[in-house]
Amino acid sequence: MKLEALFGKTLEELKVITERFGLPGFTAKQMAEWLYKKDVRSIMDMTNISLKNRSIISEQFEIGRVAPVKVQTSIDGTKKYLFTATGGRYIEAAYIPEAKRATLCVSSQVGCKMGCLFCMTGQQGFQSHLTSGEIINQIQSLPEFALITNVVYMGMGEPFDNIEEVLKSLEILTSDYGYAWSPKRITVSSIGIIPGLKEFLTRSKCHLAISLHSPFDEERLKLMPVQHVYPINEVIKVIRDFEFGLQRRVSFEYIMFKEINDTSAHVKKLATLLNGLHCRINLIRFHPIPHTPLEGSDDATIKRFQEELEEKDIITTIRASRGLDIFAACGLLSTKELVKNNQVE
Amino acid sequence: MCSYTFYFLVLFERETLKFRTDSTGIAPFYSMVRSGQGMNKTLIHGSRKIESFYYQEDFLQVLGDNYIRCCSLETAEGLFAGRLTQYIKALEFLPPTQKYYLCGSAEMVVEIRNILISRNIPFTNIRAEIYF
Repeated sequence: MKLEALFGKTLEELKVITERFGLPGFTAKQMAEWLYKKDVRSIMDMTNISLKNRSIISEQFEIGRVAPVKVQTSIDGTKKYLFTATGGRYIEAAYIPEAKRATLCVSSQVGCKMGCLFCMTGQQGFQSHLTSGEIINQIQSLPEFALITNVVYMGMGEPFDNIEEVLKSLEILTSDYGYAWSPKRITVSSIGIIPGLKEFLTRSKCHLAISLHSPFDEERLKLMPVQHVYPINEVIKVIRDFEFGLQRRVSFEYIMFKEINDTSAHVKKLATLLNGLHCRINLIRFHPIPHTPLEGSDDATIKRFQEELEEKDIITTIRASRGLDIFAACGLLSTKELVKNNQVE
Repeated sequence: MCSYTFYFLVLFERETLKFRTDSTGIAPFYSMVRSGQGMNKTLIHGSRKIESFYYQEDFLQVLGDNYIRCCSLETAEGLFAGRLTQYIKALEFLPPTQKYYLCGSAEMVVEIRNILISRNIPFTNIRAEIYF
């Protein structure tokens, strides 16, 4: 019989399990501490739970942690880790160390359904959702786990298309029973699936990033098919209507495409679209992928675009490209070849 | 959808997607044809099984030879035997100035879009709608 993973279960879910076995109520809290604070690798190592009860739990459950199966290291220090997921599939996570911080970019799905023209993950189609445990496993099973200062949900997949598992993972990362991280250490990035966005805004306090890429509907539609279903105007209306407070941040991701979305007209339209919204724009260099007809804007154009946006009082940063040589940079994560070959070198 | 004056339409319907007559999927194309906007348009419809070519009689009546059915698991007279992608790849000419509307699963849309782009269709002439 296949054992079910405990790792990734919320406290409420652990309580359901203990109730099912007729165990004391506090056992769920004990299990959560072993899972998320003490890095336990076997149920039998949960030594403050009676041996009898550990044996009962072990008949149907396992911890469910997996170590990365492969790592690639960039010349700039970025590391790309490969993890296994359910069904013999694979996902990638990118560890990005900087002088004063270290960011881990995690995946939320195997593949992606969104089909954005510029994204490598989209090229492999959709294979499956990740569980909460598979998402958190990318964090806790990382050799550099203790060094991580920030986590961004910007790896493979669309987080709001897998909203319940993503929210469970956020709860575990930020709850006292879990990792007790500040929500300010976590950013979830989405192309703007509105039902998921609403759930995320009300049930989490983590930062939000929205993939914008063009303020013009027709143009965005050609880059991002999701515009058909959830137009950016409606996404921004949801954000405007929500009270973010002073601590929670909203940012917009904007990949710069040569002679497509890098003109002064785009600056003007962006200023109109985001008028009055307390936010920032992150400009991202485009990293070309196979089959793409798109080219990236040059550095001078990106700098000029940034200056024009700042003249409109929009805080604008240019994101550094990291891990390009190992295909770990923005938009390049993919396990497409492994989907076909089902193997790791 | 109505902003374009000419379409080269492609639709792929997965067997696992069970469309009802009032659901999306083929329905937008059906509405378009029923409203008289089917002239000079081509609809390429992919499916695994013949029974999944919903509204095929109506499409055939209006579009005639411009309604092409690609069936990957079953064969019958008048059907292209194979996947929709095979049919597209086999076409000798794809007009670069026309509009291409893709509708289906992410896998199909991305695969067809890559084929079209490799055949010099500007991405600005391609629209995609993905089931998710």
